[in-house]
Amino acid sequence: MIAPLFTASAVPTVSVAPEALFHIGSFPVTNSQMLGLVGIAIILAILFGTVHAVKRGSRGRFMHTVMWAFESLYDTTLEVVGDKRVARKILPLAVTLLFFFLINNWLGILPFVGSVKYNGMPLFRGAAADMNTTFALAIISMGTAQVWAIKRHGFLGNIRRYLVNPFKDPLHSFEGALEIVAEFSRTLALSLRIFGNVFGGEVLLAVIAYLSGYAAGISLPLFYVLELFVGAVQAYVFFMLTVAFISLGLPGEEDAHADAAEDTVKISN
Amino acid sequence: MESLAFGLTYALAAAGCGIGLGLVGMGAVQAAGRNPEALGKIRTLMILAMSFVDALAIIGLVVALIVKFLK
Repeated sequence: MIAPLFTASAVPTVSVAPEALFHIGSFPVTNSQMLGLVGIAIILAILFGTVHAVKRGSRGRFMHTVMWAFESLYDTTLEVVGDKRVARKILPLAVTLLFFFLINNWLGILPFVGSVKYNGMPLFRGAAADMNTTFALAIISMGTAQVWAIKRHGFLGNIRRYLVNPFKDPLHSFEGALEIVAEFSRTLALSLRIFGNVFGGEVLLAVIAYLSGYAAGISLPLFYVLELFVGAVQAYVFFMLTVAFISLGLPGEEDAHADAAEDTVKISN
Repeated sequence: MESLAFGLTYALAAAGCGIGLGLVGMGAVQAAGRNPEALGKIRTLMILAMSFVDALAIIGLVVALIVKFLK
């Protein structure tokens, strides 16, 4: 191990997989699920509070912030999709994913996460620092993209996007085969991107705390600000990519909006 | 040999991403120089593109950590 400047904190332990705290039947309850539940409770409190306040007609500054976030996210979705009706249907899933990741990324770097122990294991762990969470949500978002494509093209039409007769159109048939691989690699990249950022951020904070020792009070706040920023950006990226992948399966690619969405996807792969 | 592999797994990913981030920054600065009024939009797009490039380096770091700690 590297010799730290001043020794104060313990050598950081890195565990890639979440630990099972207890079992319900044969179903393990892990520490990342615990923090996920806390995050969901906070999101529900915020959103139901906002709905309640809007219905009552009293609007504080906080409610305005939430409403501003919703409206600007709707505008972004509309810009990518280009169809008001579709944008309103896509929005609930995409915004839910964004809020889930945003709140959980910010909860995951709070000081009590990892230091509060239960049976020798940390009681909490960032929800997105668990590959199961991110992979499940990536599968949901890619599955939704397929459902939208089937809704638009029909079941056979959706298959025809991938499988083209090679004797009639060799170029498009090759392109379709590549598209099948691309769907899987997109799912993997989508989940790995946010997992890597959140998990890497936790390890980074632990290593910085270890290396700087008693000077951690000076060095850690800077990295905390960085992690707050990274958490917000990654949640936004997940939202943006979900919308872009769904809009890829919708026809009407000649207009500029779909082109912009495709460009976003090309950067990501 | 193992620590060399651990170092290289991150170093190779970071080397490519360094070039990528440089390209993104260069494009953003050039765009801002040509059209200073669109600075706000360019900044948003730049951060988005940077986070895409960044993610690859961080995935490299995580793969290195997984190889080191999950055996």
